[in-house]
Amino acid sequence: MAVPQEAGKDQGKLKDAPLWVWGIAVLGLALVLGSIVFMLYEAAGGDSSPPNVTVRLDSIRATQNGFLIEFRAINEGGTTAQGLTVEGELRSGTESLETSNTTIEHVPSHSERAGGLFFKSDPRQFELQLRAKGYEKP
Amino acid sequence: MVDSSKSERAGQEQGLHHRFGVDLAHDFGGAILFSVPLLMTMEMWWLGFYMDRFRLALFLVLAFVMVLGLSYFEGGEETFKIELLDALVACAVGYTVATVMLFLFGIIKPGMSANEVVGKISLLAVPPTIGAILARRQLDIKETRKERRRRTGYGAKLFLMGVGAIFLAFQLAPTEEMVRIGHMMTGWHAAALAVVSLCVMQAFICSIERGRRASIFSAAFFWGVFIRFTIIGYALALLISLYVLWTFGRLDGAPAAEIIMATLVLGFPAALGTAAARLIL
Repeated sequence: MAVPQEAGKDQGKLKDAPLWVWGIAVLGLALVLGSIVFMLYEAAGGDSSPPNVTVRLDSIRATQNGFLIEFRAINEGGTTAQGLTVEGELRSGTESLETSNTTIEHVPSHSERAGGLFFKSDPRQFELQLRAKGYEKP
Repeated sequence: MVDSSKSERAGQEQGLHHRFGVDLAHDFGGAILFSVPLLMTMEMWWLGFYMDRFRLALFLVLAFVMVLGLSYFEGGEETFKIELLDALVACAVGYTVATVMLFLFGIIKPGMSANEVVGKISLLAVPPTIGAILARRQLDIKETRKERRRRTGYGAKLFLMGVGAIFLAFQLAPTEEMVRIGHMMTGWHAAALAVVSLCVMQAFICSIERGRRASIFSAAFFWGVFIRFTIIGYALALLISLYVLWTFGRLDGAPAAEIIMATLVLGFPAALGTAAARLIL
């Protein structure tokens, strides 16, 4: 008596699942398929142009030992720039007064990363040039 | 009479909700436990955005097939519908864990492109998904005969060995060290490493395959295991190492000698994974 009942219960257990579980499963399917399709789309029609980085000034502020400028490096190219060096130069006419530089570990394609450069003189009084100098292919 | 059967059905329904609720909690536990080492590895975040998109798509497809296979071999004796359901729920859990953890660690932030965010999440969703599906097995203590037959077939054993190899290779291949160690080794080192890999595998598999045998020191048993499992398992481990290294772009532009070295180096942990898979998984 007990055995067939057990078997029957087992079958009931295994053949169907509550609706909310199916909801989670559909979500799982959508996530897996979505990311595969997205990656295939990026592989086929995606941008594979070299890094194209612009460095944009965000803010200038005074610190205890001088001045800090904060910038954003925006990569509009289709590939990652690794070890990107960013240089800031303070100029007065044709004369270069001060340069500072830093390295940003990675700037992925179509993404941005933030950083900062320190200067002794006040960048607001001179001409500030920010540029990306070079990178490595990951 | 009618009332009692009705209440019985309601009780069963509640039991079903409870069972799936407990399963889901186990999934999350397994997912987090298995994936934390990789979620906290910076090379994995980087690979999420710079690895080749086609290779990532292929990897995701293969990982999904592997999860389906694990659901079939590791789960209880269930209908195909439920096996598929289990696999998909594990995927949902994997993506949730990866997304939440990457957010918590500040690895996905505003200002990142969709490509970067989706790349990081989908690559890092693979380990928690495997963890979630493996957690299922701890729950099903009683194995039915059909399930046992499923799990002890030669194909099933090889499949589990492959999963073990992928799991360990996946943990180590993203790191720089695989290629670095290859640089430091000579041909002799590499040959010795291959022999050591084979010996360790043989020892592991003999102890698993022994079953109720009193002694493993019979030549027929020893060589049977060696040919049926160790050699094939090592070949599997090397192939999987090569595939994983290629997927992560570790072999791009490398000369043949370097490729062989890196494959042998990664082949060592992968071989351990193949041999121990049936103990751990």
